[in-house]
Amino acid sequence: MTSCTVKRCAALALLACMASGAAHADYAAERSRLKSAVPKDAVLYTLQAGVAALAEKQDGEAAALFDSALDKIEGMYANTESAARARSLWYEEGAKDFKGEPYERAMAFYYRGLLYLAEGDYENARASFRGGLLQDAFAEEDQNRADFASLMLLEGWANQLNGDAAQAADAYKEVTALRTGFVAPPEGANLLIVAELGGSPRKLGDGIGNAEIVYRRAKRTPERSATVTLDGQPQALLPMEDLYYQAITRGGRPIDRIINGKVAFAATTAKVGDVLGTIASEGNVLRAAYGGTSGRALGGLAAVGAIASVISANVKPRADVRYWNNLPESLHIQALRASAAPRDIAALLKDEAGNPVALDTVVIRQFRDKNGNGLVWIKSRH
Amino acid sequence: MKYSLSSIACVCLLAGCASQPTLNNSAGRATVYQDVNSVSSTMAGVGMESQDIVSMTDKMVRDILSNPQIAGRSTPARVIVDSAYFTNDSSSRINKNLITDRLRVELNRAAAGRLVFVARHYGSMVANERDAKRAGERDGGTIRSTKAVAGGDFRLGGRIASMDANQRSTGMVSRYHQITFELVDLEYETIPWSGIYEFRKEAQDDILYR
Repeated sequence: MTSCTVKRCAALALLACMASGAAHADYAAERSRLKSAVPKDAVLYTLQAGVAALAEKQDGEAAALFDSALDKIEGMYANTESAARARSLWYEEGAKDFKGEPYERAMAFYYRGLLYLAEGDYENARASFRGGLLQDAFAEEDQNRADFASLMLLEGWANQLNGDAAQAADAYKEVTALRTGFVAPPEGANLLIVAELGGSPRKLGDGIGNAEIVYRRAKRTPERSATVTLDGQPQALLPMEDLYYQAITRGGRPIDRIINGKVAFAATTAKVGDVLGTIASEGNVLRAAYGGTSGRALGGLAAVGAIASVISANVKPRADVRYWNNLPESLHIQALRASAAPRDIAALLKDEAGNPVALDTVVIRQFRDKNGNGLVWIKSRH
Repeated sequence: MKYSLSSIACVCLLAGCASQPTLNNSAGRATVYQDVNSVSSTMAGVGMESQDIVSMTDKMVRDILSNPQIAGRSTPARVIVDSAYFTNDSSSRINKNLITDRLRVELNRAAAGRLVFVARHYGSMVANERDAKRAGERDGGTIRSTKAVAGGDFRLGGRIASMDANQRSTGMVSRYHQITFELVDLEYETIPWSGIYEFRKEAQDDILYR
């Protein structure tokens, strides 16, 4: 990696132009959040700090942060205390150590892979992209499994740079099946442009006790496409990934059944509490009117009813809605052959209708690895 | 009255149970040396880990030293063992030097002179020193001077490959690693020695993460 340039763009020109200057990403704040995070949130803040570090040219730290997060993501959590707690009635799912949903885990591998590409370590870049693809293999419906086309393309690119032409061709073939209009990078291509547009998909709680996760697109992020100009030559980028789509097509999670069980348990115990409370209350009225010796039994019923109500109130069915908040909404990629490293790079962002989008948060970085291959990384928001 | 008191006690107990911890107040854990041959009790996945590297390099050392074409020559063979031609074609991110460095060091130690190791990965260091000596910036040292640096007889090549499988219904993940090691005759382009190490790991993540 020999050259890196971070740049913020002049809003008036509607262009992101390469120049010196600090990026807007606040790595210091993310690092501070990470330091004060409770252990169960550590991976989440590590990932967010990793992206911020990358945007602020702290590549060594970004790599270390993603390595740390991936160690946890790849590690198998069996019989851990936090997992047992999250499964119990009395804790919400968010009590578990955060590892993210599959689209978030895949993106952790994506960023680590990009950093390996920037170093010229194509083999580990390929391993990273493959690791990300594996995270996408758990979708409920077949057609949504392993459909992360951008990671396939990046795996192909790593293969191509590594001289593994046959494996590159296989990967590009898979991308072609998923993305119409995709054309494999030409032989001798030496520059990859990756643009990350928009904001992260949001997770919201929905349903009884917020027991369901629903996804929403980021608000007020109109940019949908990008054209990059390299030394005055425009290059259209192919829309390769919609992370929101990846998030919503994951399908049902096995944990949802446990959460639904918590909801059902809470509802049943609440009903039991109500019924017993009502019986005890009405019994007391009848006892007062007609006399009798059932006072102790009715008191017992009232106590059990109260306990049931308390149990119901303390069941925590809330789903885990923590999400990686500095992910993009979409990825746009192009690979090409460049005779020399571009000196002037600009990005024109457009909304759904094709109107220019003015932003002052765009980061443009250029990396050149030890073999002379380039990577241009653009992020519209951070 | 008896029931009311017990009810209050139960209510308090349940309310206490349901509180969420917000602070990790554990006392920490002192540093403990772990056996590199053991599986981590706290964090393990299906990738390559220290015990795999130790096992495979130990096996390769024994195998190479038992090969007469390599280790039984009257003049010790010159061998280059580094990661330049040792490729990672797997889905595990790994620093290949962990494997090739351990292999070279253990082989050098166990060979006890039966093999000579060429330090090609220190090439620039040697070249700089030789240039400085020949330019008169430094004296000739006390060992000897040679016209050229050592040429190799054999060089390590190899590949780390893997195959992944997973089962969505159970969250079971399986990864098979196959690591091939080969010593290539640097004159005749033949392979006088090959070794293979393979292992498969399976793991099932907690249902929370499936």
